[in-house]
Amino acid sequence: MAHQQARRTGRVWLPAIAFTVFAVIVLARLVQVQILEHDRYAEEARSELYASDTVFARRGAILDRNGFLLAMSTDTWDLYVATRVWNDDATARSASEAIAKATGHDATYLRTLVQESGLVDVLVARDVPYDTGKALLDADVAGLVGLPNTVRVHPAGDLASSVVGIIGGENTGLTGIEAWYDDELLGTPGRVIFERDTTGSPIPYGETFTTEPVPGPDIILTIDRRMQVAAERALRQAIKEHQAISGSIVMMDPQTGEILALATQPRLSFSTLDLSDPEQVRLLRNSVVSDLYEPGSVMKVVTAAAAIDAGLVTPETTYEDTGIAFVYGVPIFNWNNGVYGEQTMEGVLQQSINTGAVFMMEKLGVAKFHEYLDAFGFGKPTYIDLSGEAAGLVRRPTDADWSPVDAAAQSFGQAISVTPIQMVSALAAAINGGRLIEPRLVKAMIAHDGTRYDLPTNVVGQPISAETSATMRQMLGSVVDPGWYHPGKPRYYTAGGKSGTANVPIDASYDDTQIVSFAGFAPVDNPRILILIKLDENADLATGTMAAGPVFAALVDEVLGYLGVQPDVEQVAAR
Amino acid sequence: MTALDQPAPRTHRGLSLPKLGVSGWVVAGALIVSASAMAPVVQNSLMTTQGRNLEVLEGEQNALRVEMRQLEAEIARLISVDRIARRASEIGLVPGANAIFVTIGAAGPEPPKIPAEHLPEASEPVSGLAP
Repeated sequence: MAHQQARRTGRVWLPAIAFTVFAVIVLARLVQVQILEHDRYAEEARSELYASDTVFARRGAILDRNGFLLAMSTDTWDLYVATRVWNDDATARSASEAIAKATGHDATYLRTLVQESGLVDVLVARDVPYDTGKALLDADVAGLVGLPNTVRVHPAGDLASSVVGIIGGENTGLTGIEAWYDDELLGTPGRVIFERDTTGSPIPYGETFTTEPVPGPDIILTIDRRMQVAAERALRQAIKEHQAISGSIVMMDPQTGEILALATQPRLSFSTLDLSDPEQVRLLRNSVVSDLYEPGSVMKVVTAAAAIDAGLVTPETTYEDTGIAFVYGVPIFNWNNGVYGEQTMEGVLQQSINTGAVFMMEKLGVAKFHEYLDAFGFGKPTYIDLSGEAAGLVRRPTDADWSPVDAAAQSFGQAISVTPIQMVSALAAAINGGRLIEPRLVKAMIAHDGTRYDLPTNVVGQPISAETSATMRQMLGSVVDPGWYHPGKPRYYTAGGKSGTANVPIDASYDDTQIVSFAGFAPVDNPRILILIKLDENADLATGTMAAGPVFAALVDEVLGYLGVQPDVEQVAAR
Repeated sequence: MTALDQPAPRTHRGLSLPKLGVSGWVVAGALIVSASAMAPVVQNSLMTTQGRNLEVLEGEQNALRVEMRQLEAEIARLISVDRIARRASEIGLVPGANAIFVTIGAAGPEPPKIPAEHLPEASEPVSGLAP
């Protein structure tokens, strides 16, 4: 049997080469994946394995200057139902009844809501009280899922609601301090990174990396709740008594610019707020910083301060009032058409004589007068920490509709529009030594670790000298204590002030309706409080002195006593 | 060559393996392998238990925080000026009138018990007064 000799052939190399090429390709790919693009693939692998979620920080609280809570966040639950679990009627019925019993919803409504939604999870109740939600979740109600949330509560009710403001559904501030300090109050959100399964759900006890959220700081307002209560009560009573449609009261520490109370009426109510009602939406605007008005005779304080500071008049400077002043041929009358004869500048303020204010403005000249208006902060925002502040309107010679009579009218508070906060800020400068201070509503912030940051007083200008300011205090003191009865004179304290009564401007003319106000301070020698009371369109047509003066006097006695300021008016003991 | 005829000196053995026999070694090996296999399981179990305990404690801590915040809100509500005024009115108190200011030499009342960080800065002392 002969063996057949196998023929030598090169075909065996074909698979060898194929395998070698394949191996080289695989090797090249491995080099690409594991070495050249290692970082990219490692990142992709991590993103597949891990998921992350944002942990929102707790919103900071808002407190009054003495640490009493005005707004804070408390914990709640948003309750969802997994719709698939409620496919079974019996399950849906028992679960919906359990939820309805705890939340007050209608069980049938809940079943309909879930079964007709077409979603995987349906929100069935928002902001459920923590204990109620916890009890439901602990009871393992079928399909029920709870997500923690917070809700803003106001333990002091609607007190200072126009200052505190509101937040929206996403815990974002919409108005007031809530809006202005939203970035601070929100805090810094945290992040949780966790291992997840194929469905994206966290793997129980898997690796978790957490960056804790940093809660927002608590904000300490300059508002004193006790004084705020007094201001709101006084404003309500004054509006009712004088049949006004609205009004505002601002109390400020004239030495620091701190707002101690800021009341507006009507005001928003946290508990009944309905943003679908346009009337209520209007209340979101804080009228003290947003609404313009002509201040009327209160402006004479600024005119007098300017003229005295410029060295053009003194309180004793006299002029002859004939009851009428002609400015470029246009007659200007006194508010009551009165004729006062020879008057000092002090008398001009006491009697609120328009022609006297025009006399001082003419001494100054339009340019100088406007320089002082600018220095007192008119025509620009005060930069108080509230959103929606208006700049005010000051007609100037460069304006197209300027009339030379405008400057004369501005000297007694017409042809100029200001916000109440501008007026308070300017008057504070007139009596506090001449310093124009940025008004503010926040005194300090307290970080979550307890560190307190006090906000500094910000002096932004010196419109008049300290000597002029001292003179103004005495002049305004003589307005409230002229030697005869004055409704704005407090019982226990010396005080200074000036009233204003101005018609409401409509187009190029004036309406019959009026805005009355009284701005004053006490005590005269060392002012601790500056108060502006403003009543809009009071139907009884009482003047600023008669309508707002008594409110000022009562508030001074009440709040200075509360602040522990010793009375500086001698009291005669009643027998 | 004398030295070569002498017996080798005995060396001291510090550790001598027990005589287990083949089956003994197999059993010992199996035990070691089993113990090695069980160790991660036990460790995992312990970690899981501790993780669970930690989770429970965190839950309790959170519940206490929530309760504390609710109590803060409740206290704030109870000491609100409106509520105090309403309660005072209910028990027949009326706002004071004709206040009389008296300067006294005694120390003032204790400051309110509010956390220090929430208190205002110390202000200049004023004479005590009584309404």
